[in-house]
Amino acid sequence: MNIPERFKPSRSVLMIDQWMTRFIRFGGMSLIIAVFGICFFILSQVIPLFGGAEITLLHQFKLDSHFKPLTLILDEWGELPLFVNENGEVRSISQKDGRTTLLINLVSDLKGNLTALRYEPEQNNLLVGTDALEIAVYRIDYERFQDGDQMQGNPSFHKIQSYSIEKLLRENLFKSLKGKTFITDLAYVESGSRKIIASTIKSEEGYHSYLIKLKEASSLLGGGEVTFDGLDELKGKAGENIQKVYVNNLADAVVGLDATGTFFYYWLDSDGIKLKQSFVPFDEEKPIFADFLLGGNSFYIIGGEGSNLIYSLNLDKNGEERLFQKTKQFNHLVPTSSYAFAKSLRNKAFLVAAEKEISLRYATTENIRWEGESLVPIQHVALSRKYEHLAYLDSANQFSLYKLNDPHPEGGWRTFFGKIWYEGASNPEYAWQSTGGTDDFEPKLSLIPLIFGTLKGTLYAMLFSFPIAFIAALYTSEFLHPRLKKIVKPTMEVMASLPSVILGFIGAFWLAPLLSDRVPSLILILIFLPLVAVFLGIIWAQLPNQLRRILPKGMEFFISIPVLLLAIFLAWKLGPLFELIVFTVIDPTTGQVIADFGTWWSQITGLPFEQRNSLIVGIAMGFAVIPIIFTISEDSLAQVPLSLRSASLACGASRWQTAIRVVVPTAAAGVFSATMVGLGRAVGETMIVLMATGNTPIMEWNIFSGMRTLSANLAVELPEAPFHGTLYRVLFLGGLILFLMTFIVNTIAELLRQYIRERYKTL
Amino acid sequence: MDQEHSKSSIVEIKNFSFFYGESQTLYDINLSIQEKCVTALIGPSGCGKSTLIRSINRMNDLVEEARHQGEILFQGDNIYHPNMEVISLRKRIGMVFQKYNPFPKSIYENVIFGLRVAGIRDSKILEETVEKSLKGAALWDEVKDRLHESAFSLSGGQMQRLCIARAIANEPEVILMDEPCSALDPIATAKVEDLLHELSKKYTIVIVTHNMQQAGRVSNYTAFLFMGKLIEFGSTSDLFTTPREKKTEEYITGRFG
Ligand SMILES: Nc1ncnc2c1ncn2[C@@H]1O[C@H](COP(=O)(O)OP(=O)(O)OP(=O)(O)O)[C@@H](O)[C@H]1O
Ligand SMILES: [Mg+2]
Repeated sequence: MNIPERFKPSRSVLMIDQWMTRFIRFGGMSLIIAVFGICFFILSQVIPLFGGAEITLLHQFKLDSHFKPLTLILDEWGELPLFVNENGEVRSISQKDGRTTLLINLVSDLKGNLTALRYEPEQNNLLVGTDALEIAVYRIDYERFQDGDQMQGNPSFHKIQSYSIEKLLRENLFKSLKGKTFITDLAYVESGSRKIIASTIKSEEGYHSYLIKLKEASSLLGGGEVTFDGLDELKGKAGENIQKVYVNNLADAVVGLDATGTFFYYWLDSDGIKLKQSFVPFDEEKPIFADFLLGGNSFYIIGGEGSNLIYSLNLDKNGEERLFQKTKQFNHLVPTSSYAFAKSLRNKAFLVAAEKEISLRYATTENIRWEGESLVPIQHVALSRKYEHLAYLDSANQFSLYKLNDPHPEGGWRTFFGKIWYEGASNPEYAWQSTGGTDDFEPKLSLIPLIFGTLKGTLYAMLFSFPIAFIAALYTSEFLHPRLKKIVKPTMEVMASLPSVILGFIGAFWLAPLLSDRVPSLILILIFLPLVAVFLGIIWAQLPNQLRRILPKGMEFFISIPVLLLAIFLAWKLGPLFELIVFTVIDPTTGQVIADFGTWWSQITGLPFEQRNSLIVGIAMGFAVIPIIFTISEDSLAQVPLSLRSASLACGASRWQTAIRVVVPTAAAGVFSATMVGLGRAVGETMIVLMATGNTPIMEWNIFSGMRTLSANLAVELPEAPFHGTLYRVLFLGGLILFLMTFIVNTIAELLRQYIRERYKTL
Repeated sequence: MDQEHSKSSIVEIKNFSFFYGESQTLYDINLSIQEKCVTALIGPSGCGKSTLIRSINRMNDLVEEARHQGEILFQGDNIYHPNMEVISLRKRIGMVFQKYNPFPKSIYENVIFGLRVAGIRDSKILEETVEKSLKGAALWDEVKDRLHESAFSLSGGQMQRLCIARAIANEPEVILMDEPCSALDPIATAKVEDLLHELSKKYTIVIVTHNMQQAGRVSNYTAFLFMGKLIEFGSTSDLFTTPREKKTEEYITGRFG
């Protein structure tokens, strides 16, 4: 076809057009890629939290078949595994060739043969007992030195305690034990100046368990002389003999086990020893193994049929006493008569082996971190102090050492989104407390309280801001004089650009103290304002037209504002009187009747009253959100075609009816998206919540308590979170959830908006 | 002749001038509109027809800085008197606009909008009104099965008749129509014109139109406006056959405008 020249577009127009098309396409694609990239990055930071543990084999050696190891010990660096032979020899296993070296014989200077051995990793003590009723406690210390290009640890053994139980019994006038006697079990704990040795002796009559208390004279130079401070025999409730004794690392809880499978919990303080509780963990099984986990709060028990569970020292239902309660239940183990066990000293993980199966478990979450199987039954397991190595020794005397890689053992769905029964708590709960004072602290990483806090903050902010912003927008677009409209809108836009740190500051340091004892005034204002406004409207409508004409249309507020201000002022001043009449309570401390809203609230609802509370957040954050909702709503209300307003008025509708029945429904989509944009702002708002609340991650809707939001949590904790640590990744997870929340809100908002727009579209 | 008409005149426009801010749009209009007749307003674009018709039910109140002089009497009362209730005035003087403007609601809700805002809730009354009004607007047969569908599902001509139904649902005394057919095709226009005949038996109708044939067909009286001044007013047959003014003749014969 031949197109005349004058109809042809010029070449440059075509080129620019083509080029711009490409440029825009490129820009759009890069934006999508960037968003996906960010999501990808966050995901890559979060995913490791949900992974299990990984192990890699380092060495595997066969030990001499005449060795009969009783226990396996790993040092801090996983370099020099030790085992204790049945004759009391401590031997190291060389990592070069698996050759063993004798380091010390623990019973060489004790009388009798070794009959009891215990390794206590917390204080790195080795305990030995003999059939001559002598005991000794050795402390293992490591000395680091450079060996070629490698660091080597050289263990040394110090005998820190040694006693003859036989002599002590005799001196303390205990009746002598009959027949052949030997020590079957031992425990030793130091906590401050308190030191305790527990020892069980078997005689012809059965088992006897004794608690030896030692006292250390305090001296300025640290450890002073240790002296004997008493000996007690442990007995069950009805005088049962105790077969095994466990002492926690605080040396305040002692647990004994009798022949029937009942555990007895004794509490130790300066006055002596008290039996507090007895409990039977299994209906049918016999407890085979038990030990305290890191921290001395959780007591892990395995039964003969493979059941394994944890009893923890928690406040009882009345919140009075700390007693053992069953808190955790793990997957069954293979039933056997002896289990191998090792606990982590970094966290609440422990390694347990039954027959050929070995599994690494995490107490807090009841998760299995890793599971493996060996060819022959496993006899002993060990974990390095830093939770970086694991080792086991099987019945064929084969020793295997693995590198353990488990950076986030406390992770998992339940940790972040489920209820967990933490140590010391009286119930399973959603809790956030990322750091604690001690090494054995159990981090509580549930994101639920933070999500809750985010929703709570958003809800209160929206409750405050939406009505104000919406009514203001409606008034401005429908009733306000156009000349004033030109002033109001830019003013609101300036308000929108107010830095939120200033709002937070005002909220925290001016509003919070101001409102803390003026809640009754606030309630009065909430009652007065609508009443006065309605009343004013009624009076205005009654006035003769001549009088009403004095004020031009859209200027009515010139009289309403002073009246409303007066109402606010009156309400503010009447507040204390109102409080005096309505909010009176009996002060629990003095017994006098006082008028105080805070106390009244706590007594009536049982909920706390805090100065920096959700009300303050609602108001401060509301101020950040109002301008957003206002401007967008006002725009969409003003965009409703004049023809619809005319049609409505021509049907005899009043201006108010026109506004409510025609303008608002028609602009509903716009008002809705305005609200959603405001909601998005409130969900992500950080500074205001950070400053205007106490940032306590609680889960209650109480308007007079604070909250911690996901975003504030990020701001609070990120500086303390070690790079690539669990907390660091959990914070990213929080960020991801925040992102998802806004994404979901926006998606729902967009779908609803389109639906509404379709319904109320105009021609 | 004035004397004779005033007996049945329902709207009386007296020395009415209108200003948008500083610029005057209407100059000293005197016009009386007869009850149950169709009065057509004709004139070239921008001569003030819409301004005049909108003054009759005070729709011009919406315009900022608009002023007027003189008065408009509706059944003897000055509609600009301070004590005049605008809301009831607009119920009594309904309006149909140039561009059909149904509300984004169902057909049903559109028709009863006036009743709803008047606070009538009795569903029997509402249903009767819907049927009566839609029948009155010759739309009933076309929409009776889809009353609860969106008004936007109708064609343009149907929507305009819906707007007429909405106006007559209030049972007004006067219906003002500002170029009601300008957005419609000839067939739809014909339907609306037929409707006007029917409606004029019950209602007083004031209609603005650019279509001379239409004015001739539907109206009993015609007023010719030019540059904001009423040039000629009389019965349609007189005005179209023997115009008194030269301007009128020039306009209706299509020499300008
Ligand atoms: N809201 C307004 N503000 C200011 N001037 C206006 C306004 N509406 C109309 N005018 C002016 O008043 C004059 C009359 O307008 P009007 O709409 O009454 O004319 P019309 O006869 O209806 O014209 P048309 O046949 O084109 O509809 C025009 O000059 C117009 O510019
Ligand atoms: Mg017009």
